[in-house]
Amino acid sequence: MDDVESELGMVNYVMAALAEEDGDAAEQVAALATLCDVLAVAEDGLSSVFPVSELVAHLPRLVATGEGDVPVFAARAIAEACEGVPPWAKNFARFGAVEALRDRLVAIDDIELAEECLRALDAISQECPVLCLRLGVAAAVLQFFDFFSTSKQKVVLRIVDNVLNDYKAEDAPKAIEAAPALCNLLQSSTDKTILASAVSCLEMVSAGASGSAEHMNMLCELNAVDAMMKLMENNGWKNLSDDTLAGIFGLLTDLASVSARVTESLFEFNIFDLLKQMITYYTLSHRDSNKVQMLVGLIYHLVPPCQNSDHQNQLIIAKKQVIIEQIRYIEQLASILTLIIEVAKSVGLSSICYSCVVFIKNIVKLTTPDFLMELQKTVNLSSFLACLLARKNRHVIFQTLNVSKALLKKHHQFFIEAFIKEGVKHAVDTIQAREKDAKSIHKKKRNNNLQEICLCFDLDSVTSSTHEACRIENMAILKLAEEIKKNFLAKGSTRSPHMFGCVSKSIRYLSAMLNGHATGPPTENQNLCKQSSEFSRQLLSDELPSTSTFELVQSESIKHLAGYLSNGAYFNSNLRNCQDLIGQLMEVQNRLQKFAHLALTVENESSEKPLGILVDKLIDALHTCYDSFPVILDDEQCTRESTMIPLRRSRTEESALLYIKFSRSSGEMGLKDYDDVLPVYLSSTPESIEEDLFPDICIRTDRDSACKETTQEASGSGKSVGFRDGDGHSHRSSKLTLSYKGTKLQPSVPFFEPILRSMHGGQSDIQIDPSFWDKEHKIVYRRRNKSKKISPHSSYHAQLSCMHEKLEMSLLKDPFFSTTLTGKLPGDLDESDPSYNFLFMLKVLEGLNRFPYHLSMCEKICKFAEGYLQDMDGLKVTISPIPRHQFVSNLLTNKLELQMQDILFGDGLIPSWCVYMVENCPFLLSFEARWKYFCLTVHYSFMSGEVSSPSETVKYRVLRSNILEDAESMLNKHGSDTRMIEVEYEEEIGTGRGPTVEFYSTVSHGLQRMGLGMWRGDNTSQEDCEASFVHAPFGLFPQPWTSAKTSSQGISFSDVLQKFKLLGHLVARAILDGRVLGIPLSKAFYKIMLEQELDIYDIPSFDPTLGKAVIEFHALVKRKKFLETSLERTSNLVADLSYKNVRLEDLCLDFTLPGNPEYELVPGGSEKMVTLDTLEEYVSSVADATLNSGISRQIEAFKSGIDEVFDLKTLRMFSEDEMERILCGEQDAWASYKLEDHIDFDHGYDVNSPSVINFLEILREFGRDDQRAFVQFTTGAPQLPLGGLASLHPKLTVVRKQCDGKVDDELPSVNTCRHFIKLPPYSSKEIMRQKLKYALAEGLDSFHLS
Amino acid sequence: MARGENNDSHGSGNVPAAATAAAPASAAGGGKQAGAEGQSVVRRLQSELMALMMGGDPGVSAFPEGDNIFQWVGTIAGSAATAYEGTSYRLSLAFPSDYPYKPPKVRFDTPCFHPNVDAHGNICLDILQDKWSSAYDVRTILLSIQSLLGEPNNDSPLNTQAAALWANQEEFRKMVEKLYKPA
Repeated sequence: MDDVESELGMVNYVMAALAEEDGDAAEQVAALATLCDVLAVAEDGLSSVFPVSELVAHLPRLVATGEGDVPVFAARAIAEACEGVPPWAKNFARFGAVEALRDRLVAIDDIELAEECLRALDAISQECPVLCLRLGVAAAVLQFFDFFSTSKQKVVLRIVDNVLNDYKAEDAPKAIEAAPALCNLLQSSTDKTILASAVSCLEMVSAGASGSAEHMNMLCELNAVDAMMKLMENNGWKNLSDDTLAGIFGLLTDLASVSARVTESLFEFNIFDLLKQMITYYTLSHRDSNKVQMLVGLIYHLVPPCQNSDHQNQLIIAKKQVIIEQIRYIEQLASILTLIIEVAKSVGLSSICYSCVVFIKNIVKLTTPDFLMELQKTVNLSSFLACLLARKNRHVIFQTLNVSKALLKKHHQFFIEAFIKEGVKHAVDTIQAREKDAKSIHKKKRNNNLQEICLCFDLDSVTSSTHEACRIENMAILKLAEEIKKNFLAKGSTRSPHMFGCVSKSIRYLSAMLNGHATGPPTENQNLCKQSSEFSRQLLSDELPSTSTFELVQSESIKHLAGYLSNGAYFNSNLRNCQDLIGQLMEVQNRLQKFAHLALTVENESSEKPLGILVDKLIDALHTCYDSFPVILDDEQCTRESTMIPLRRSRTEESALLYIKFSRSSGEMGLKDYDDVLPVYLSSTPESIEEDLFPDICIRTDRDSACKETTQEASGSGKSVGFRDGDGHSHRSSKLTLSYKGTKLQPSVPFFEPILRSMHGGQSDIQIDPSFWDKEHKIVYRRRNKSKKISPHSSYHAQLSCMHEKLEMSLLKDPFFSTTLTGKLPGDLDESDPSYNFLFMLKVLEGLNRFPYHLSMCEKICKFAEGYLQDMDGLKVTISPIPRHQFVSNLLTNKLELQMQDILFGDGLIPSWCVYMVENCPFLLSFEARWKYFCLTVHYSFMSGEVSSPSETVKYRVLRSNILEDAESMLNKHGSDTRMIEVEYEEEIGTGRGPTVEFYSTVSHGLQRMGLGMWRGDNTSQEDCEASFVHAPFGLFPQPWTSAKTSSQGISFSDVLQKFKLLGHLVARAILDGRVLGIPLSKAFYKIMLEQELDIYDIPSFDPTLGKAVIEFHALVKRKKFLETSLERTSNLVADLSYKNVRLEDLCLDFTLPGNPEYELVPGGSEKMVTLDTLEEYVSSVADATLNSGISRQIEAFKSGIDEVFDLKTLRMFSEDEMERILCGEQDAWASYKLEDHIDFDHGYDVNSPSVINFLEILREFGRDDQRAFVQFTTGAPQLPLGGLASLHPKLTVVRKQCDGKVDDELPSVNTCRHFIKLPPYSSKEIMRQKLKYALAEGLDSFHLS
Repeated sequence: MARGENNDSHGSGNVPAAATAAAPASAAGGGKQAGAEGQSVVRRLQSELMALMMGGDPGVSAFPEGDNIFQWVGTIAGSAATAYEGTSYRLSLAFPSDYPYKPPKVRFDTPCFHPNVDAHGNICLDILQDKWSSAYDVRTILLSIQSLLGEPNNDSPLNTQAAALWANQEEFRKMVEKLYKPA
């Protein structure tokens, strides 16, 4: 109390001193200084007793008129006062503080004073922004911006921000005053935060002024556009923060929407080039729908809208003028149009799609028919329209119809043909019919309002405050469709008997023929076989490229093809029960082989592989099924920071819960009532809830028998475990049937999905209504009918799985093959959904594309066996797969990305199609999207086990000299820890990331040491004893260990197993903690990691010489079998069955593993010689030892290491290459800066030759895949030894290639013996890059066996 | 480690592989590798040696070097009517433990001036690299090298000087003779 008393006394004294009009300056300063001190520590208690009225009266006056240091202290006092007690600011303002401070600031005679003024204004502007604005504070503080230090500059911008925030339109003139200085800032400043705030201030200026064209024009004249474009040019936009970018685009959009001049200057700046880069970036590599929306918004405003509302008429005409006058502007438009069409097709949000279509409509109206016809050559506009017309969203349909109408108006004849071919006409007919139906239903049931979110006003930045009704009335679509039909389509179809009819017919004919032949007895008639393959060839090579997607779908060719490949199983579900499983299997394999050969062979050099074309069309067709994959989003605001997915996720917030009231079905007598409302997790499914629910509702006597049942079923279903059909759930037969509003619920689909779907009346994309969370959802349960306990389907699968054990080829065990064989996609997919056909076909084709080597080699071996192929050297594979990325669907990827951005995704807001796609058709989703999915789901489940802070880490110390053992013990202890692991070295100072990163690479290098007995190639010790690491040119693969021995050459097998477990731990932790390993595992080993089967055809991928020999032996066995069974027994069996003219016995092979004589393939194998009669046994036991029994225990140890950290199964969504990318990172196979140290230049080249400089630059620019290809090209193997180029022996040498003809026509060539690359001295870097790339691509095709 | 114990009991039932391997190998005189190397390879090499001795191909011969059956010395005589007529070259052949699945390492011991042979005697020949097949043997290797002498592959030379000189057979012959140092 005393303190306050004394302070009050002091204040009173100070006040007295200040009150004197012309008091002594020194005295006033002293008084003010005291005041400042008091105010600085002012507490709430003080404020109530403070003489505020005096204070606010005196201080502003002193600021204005004081001399010397007086104003400085007065200003500081104001600042202290306002910061301490914000409400006082208003009082100060009333007494002219703002004017005083402003004037002092502008007078700028003292920097200290100016800074104090800023501080005071900062505080006041927060409380009374309007007044400050009217008094011109914004312009004033900006006037001498450059004089201030950076920190004060930030204060300045904060003041401007405060002042301009949400100002009223009538204050616009004052706000505009601040604009010039802000624009200057954009040009001069380099500080990011300053730039960002300047942009946001400018945006606020324009937002407030947007009502008046005059003000906006003023803004334009200030070169704001120039300044912003400069900021973004040369990839500058990549360095800007999200907020800044959003600000810039908001501003540009505002400006462009009101001013033709801005539009022109943007055209002049080639804005579309920039936009193209940005859209490509945000749609393909960093999928970010918000950004795309923002960019599309700007584009929309650059082109004048076509609906002429009166007040904008002049502007529109002006804009039109701008664009039409310049041909290059039109060209810019054409280039962006192509991109926008792509975006509209693949974007997952209807609102963006809508904006795109509106933009397209405007362009169509603006341009000439010639322009549009030219455009149709580069982009298929008609197919695009047909694709959009297949959607449900009424806004999109309406605008698309408008585009179609506009196109027909522009050039009727031309577009009507395209429309018929691509199915636009068909789509319009469908829409018309559907709308008519809707109309008649509408009449009966009045209350049928659609809940679609209105998109009409998304694009108008000037949103009117009143909520206008949606512009699309109920009947609008029908009217438009009818109008189009009447005016354009009716005429067209009668006048031009278009070729569509005949094209479609011929495709239908061909595919039906194909099928017809197929159903006849196979292989019996040579002629028939030839004919059918001729048909397929014709279909694939001649017809396919010129067929439109619509024709392909409409003619049912896809179904026919599916029927053909599955040997009829696709059409006929009864066939699935056929007894002759083996026969069916052989036939399907046979057809796949033939088809693979045809689909992957290129007719001539310029044409694409038929498979590529087919896949493109299928993906296109899949995109017409937009509504089969609904995105379900919670409230719009809470989206995750889109690009960043944390490796660790904190689980602080409550999980979202759903309230379900379970009630008994009225007729159900066998169950009790369930009274409570049950809160369930979002991810709950009928399957998962049953365990909790059933005990509570079953009548007691029932329970015991129920339990028994369960155990019986469990043992019964055990059989089908071996059969992997892709979906993880084993089909437990449930005891309950649940239904919601009369529809039965699928056991594996989460509750939220059917509930939401029925709430939103059949819409596809759903924005969850808040009422969903509050409502109780009533679900009815009753006992399940047990009538059909064993479905015919499951018995078929059991049969299949039995057979799987007998099959040797991994191809036949792949899920894709089972899919083809059964003619049915795994899981309970709705077969009537339009997307089903396409998904089935894509699944089959993708599998086929993964096994071209297997399929083709099988075919060749058959030919050899049957004598069509005489020479063993003909056992070569000449086809290569199409790139995997061709299977990626942009639409599905975007939709999944969108879904993952929702904050509730981690809680289980995952529509069932997402899960299905990730598990069964991962190839349709981009790698990035799947990786994100993996992070969000696996890390989540990983985290849920234990509650711990995500930032925590485990620290562990290891000894460098004992690193493998230490790593083992550490990972055994902490392997499954939820926290990040950090490593420090004993007796070394470094901590944190550096040593940890190094630890992972050191341990993974340690695991490649010679003498560990882990890898193939480790037993050649006597030759290269100087090499201390195993060099596996084709990647590391486990070395087989015979089960008969526990140690060999001083290595104990249990140590080997421990090492493999360590590797498993290490791999799992590296994935989880985002570390990179330096270990070149072979593709085959990655396959094992992904739980794929290996067979004899995989051996060449890690050991080409052994693989080649084994496959040749295998072919010999087949030939022998064929000769033995064929009727005309050749007299000279033995001569026919020599191995390349050598008697097999002369090879002197015994039954030990090649290169490992201790490994006996059969007991006493070292005494048993390989003869023609034992060759089959030998081949299968070599393959078995190499791929199975010899390495199974090591693999088990490795997998158990991973499983201890997370479920190995979750990795299945990745491919081998992707796993490598995850584990080994994207970094270079060689360190770029050292390139010239490890390459020699000779024979006409030295380091300074221009060609060499170009060459080195090209190498540095190579991505990982190109580097790999380059290494393969020059050394003959994809993997460099540990240490990279530096350890390559002999050194890589680049020599000048002597060219007789034109240099630029030559290709580089290599001498893999000596690692020579012969490089012609090309005339330019670009040509050199092209030629190199070409040579690399050619070289890769001959990878497997040469 | 239940698995490990299992293996032990399993193993004791069988004759240890190394013991059986050792007996014939040492009998063949390859004492050094008895434990580590397979008798399969030994047997194969012995049979090849027999075939070579019996076959009597003109101009090629090979024998194991000392006790080590995995290390051979071969000799090729230059074919008549080539620049190499009248010369005789010594080569060394080193067989890997997984022979015949992998090719032996072959190099010239006698310096050889040839487009496809480098200064260290390394040979660039496809059947010794990626075109190797288990059906090849020492005899076919030596015959292939012999024919390579007369028909070099000048498109991918290791010795560019030799490749350039090939067109002029007289000069070439002189160089061959000049650098020829018979063992």
